[in-house]
Amino acid sequence: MKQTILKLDNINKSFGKNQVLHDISLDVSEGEFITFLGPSGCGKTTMLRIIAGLLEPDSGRVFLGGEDVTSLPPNKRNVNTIFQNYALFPHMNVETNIGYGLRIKGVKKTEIKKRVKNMLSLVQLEGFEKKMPNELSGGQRQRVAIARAAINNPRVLLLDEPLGALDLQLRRYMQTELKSLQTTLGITFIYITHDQEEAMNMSDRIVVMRDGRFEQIDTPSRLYDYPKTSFTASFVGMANLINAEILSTNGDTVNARTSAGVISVLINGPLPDPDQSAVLCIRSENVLLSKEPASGALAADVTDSAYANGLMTTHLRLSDGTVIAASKYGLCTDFHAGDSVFVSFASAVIVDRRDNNEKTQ
Amino acid sequence: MNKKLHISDAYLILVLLLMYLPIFVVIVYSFNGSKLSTVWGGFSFQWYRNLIHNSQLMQCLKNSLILAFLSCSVSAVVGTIGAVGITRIRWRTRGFLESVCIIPIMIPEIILGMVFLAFFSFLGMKFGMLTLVIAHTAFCIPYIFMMVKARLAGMDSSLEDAALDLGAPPVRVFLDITLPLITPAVLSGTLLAFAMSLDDVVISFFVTGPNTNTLPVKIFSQMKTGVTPEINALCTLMLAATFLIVILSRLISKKFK
Amino acid sequence: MKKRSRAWICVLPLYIFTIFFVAVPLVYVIVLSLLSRDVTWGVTGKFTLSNYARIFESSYLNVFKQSLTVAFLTTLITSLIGYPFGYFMARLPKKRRSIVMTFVIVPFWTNALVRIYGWIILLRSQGLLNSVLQIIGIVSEPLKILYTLPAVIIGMVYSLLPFMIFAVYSSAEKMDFSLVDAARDLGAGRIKAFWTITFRCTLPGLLSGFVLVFVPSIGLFFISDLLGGGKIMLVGNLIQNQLLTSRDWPFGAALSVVMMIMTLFVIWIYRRITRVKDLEGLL
Repeated sequence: MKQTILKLDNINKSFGKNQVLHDISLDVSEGEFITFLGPSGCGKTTMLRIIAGLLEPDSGRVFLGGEDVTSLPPNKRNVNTIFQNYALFPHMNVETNIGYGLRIKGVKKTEIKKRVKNMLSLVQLEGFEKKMPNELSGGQRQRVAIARAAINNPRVLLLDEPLGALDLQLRRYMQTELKSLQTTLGITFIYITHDQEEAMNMSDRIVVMRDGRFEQIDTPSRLYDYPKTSFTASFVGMANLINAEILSTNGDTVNARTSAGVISVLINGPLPDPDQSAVLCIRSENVLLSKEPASGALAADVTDSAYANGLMTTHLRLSDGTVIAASKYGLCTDFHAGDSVFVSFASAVIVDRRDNNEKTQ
Repeated sequence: MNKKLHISDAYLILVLLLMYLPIFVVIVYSFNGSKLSTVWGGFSFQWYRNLIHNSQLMQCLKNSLILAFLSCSVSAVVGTIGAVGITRIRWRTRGFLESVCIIPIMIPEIILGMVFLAFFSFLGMKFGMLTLVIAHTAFCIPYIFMMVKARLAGMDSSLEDAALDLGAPPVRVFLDITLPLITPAVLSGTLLAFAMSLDDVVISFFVTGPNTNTLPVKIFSQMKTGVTPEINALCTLMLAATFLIVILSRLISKKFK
Repeated sequence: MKKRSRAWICVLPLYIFTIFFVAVPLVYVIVLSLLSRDVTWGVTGKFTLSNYARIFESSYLNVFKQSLTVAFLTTLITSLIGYPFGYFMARLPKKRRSIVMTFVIVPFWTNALVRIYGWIILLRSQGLLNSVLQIIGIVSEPLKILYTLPAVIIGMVYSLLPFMIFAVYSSAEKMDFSLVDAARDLGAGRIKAFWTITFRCTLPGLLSGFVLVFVPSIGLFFISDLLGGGKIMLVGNLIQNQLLTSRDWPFGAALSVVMMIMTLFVIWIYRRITRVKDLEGLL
């Protein structure tokens, strides 16, 4: 296990009557790429500003490398931030922007020049020293912002939705770029986004946030395969959530009654107790369609189907009116709107378990 | 764009011409060789020469410039740091202060003049440069204050955060980031205030002392009694000065955009 | 936070200056207006409302009436001239817009007396305007314009027009002109689109212009002095007389307070209508 570099201990923060962070605690290890994922207004930016020192928490402590920095002002913390809009100083050129932190520290001019040059080559912006920020493209500004932060060798680099302003293609490209930069620099990245794709692609761990609380902390794959709550399940990937009553269990398979009929499905992860109601989370790729009836399958009507990014997604309406999505790789023209089909489920995860609920509510 | 003259362009030009008509008249008459403004006595620099030797007018010009310089310097400092400070405090009286401090440019000038006349007499202050400077500072501050405040409101607050984040202590953040970014607003606000101070008749009229007549006050009293053509020359010079100031301020705001 | 604890030092000079040289003098004038005049020219500490009662004497009421008439006419004419100007200016291509802007600012920053003086030369009975009119043959006798009400209004309109232009311009400049296209696309005619979209969007600027022209036009005593030849009495002239000639300060203070209340009332109405705190295009 690597050393803990950042520790948040029971942090609370309110703005007026509105409590935006509730008892936040987290350990981040050295060199980790950790992402806070959540919809806007969930408190993720507030938390970032607390780590940066731009805000002080109402209660709780922030430890950086074992040292309590809770009331240390931002200029005395070895943490740097990449702001949402990059916040490049418009009246300074690229070189002065990047060298600003070193200049504050009183590093010699020649030394600054050398290190800026190194940094520029690292972010592939050689020869851009004298350009002004308004002469740069979005992607280039982004790199300057990274260089300006990284040149100070911070222990933790905070990134506040840094790709939000870029177009889709550049965003995808910058994802790989950022990840490899993080590996090269070996700095801990704390990354904030509302885009699950970014989170899934880059992170070692993802923290799903909702209304100022942590919903789930896990690796991307576990988050996808074993979501603990319906919120996580629907925020990460496409999920069908079905309310059911567990009738019986047979090994890993359960029989459950839904309002559209009785189904039998393999459960990943912990099994539910019988005679209990539960929420089943079924990923769309685990929804199987067939034209022939089978035991444990439900009748449904195809409402529409669409093909995008190599994925064929079909929407179905069950007899009780519930709409679910089924997806499959490759072009598949077997099912058309209006067809009657039979739906069965390959596997499911139980979400919103009561013991979970007690913890998060 | 096509080269055709639109009605809108013609309208703009017409109104501008009307705006400049009286100004042109003054300029032309300042070169009139005849003392009578009804007669054209040939081109002459006579009035400009007379003007330079008119020590009274020159003294008034000096007074006006000293006054504008003093009140603008004080206002620039007070207004600028006030605008910077006010965005950072959360006192209850903040909104009240803002409203009161811009009152001098909201109410008719004559009221401000009357208020100062009454107040300074009440305090038993001697009317002169000091009373002039205080009165002018009162109406110069709002111009600078409002311009700087507007600029600060338009400024991305994450720039200051970024500088703090990069290790700069608050004073350096102000010197390195905030100040350079609000400089254009400070400069153009100060220039506007300078022009307003040089231009002011009404307020100066009430608070000036016997030996500190400003140029506009002097011109006003001359205009009421009888105008010498030197005034034409003087006005032309002032016009030229204003023109330079305006060009300067336009250049400043352009450069920083 | 640390950042905030030092900010009060920055606002301190502004607070001190504003309280001592703006708020306190204003309060003093209000107090003064409630005191009686001494036999000579000083003030006694006796409380009275008679200064306010005097305003309702018919000769003073007439001054207010004349003042308001001038202010209304000035506001009306400046908006008729200034609104199209500000609007057309905002629609100019960027470079030309900046040139026109400079041309408007120069007279605005030029000494008001210089410009008024130009009008005196123009409007005199042997002045340029009359000479031109006589040469063309429109009039045989020189027109008497100077030292009449029209001359005062010309001077006011001329001095205050830039305020109207800036106010209208600043709201027209912010306007998204694709809205007009959208309205046209949705079937509105030219006039209808202008009325429902453009006019609505620039209304805050126009209203702000009303305030910026109306308020000073009550008080510009030197314009009526110079162009009205002392025959046109406005509230501004009245205050000036009370202060400097009659030396009746309490009455002058009462007049100022009434004028101030009128001003604040106009601004209050503006804020109620537009729900905007600052006046559009003031700077």
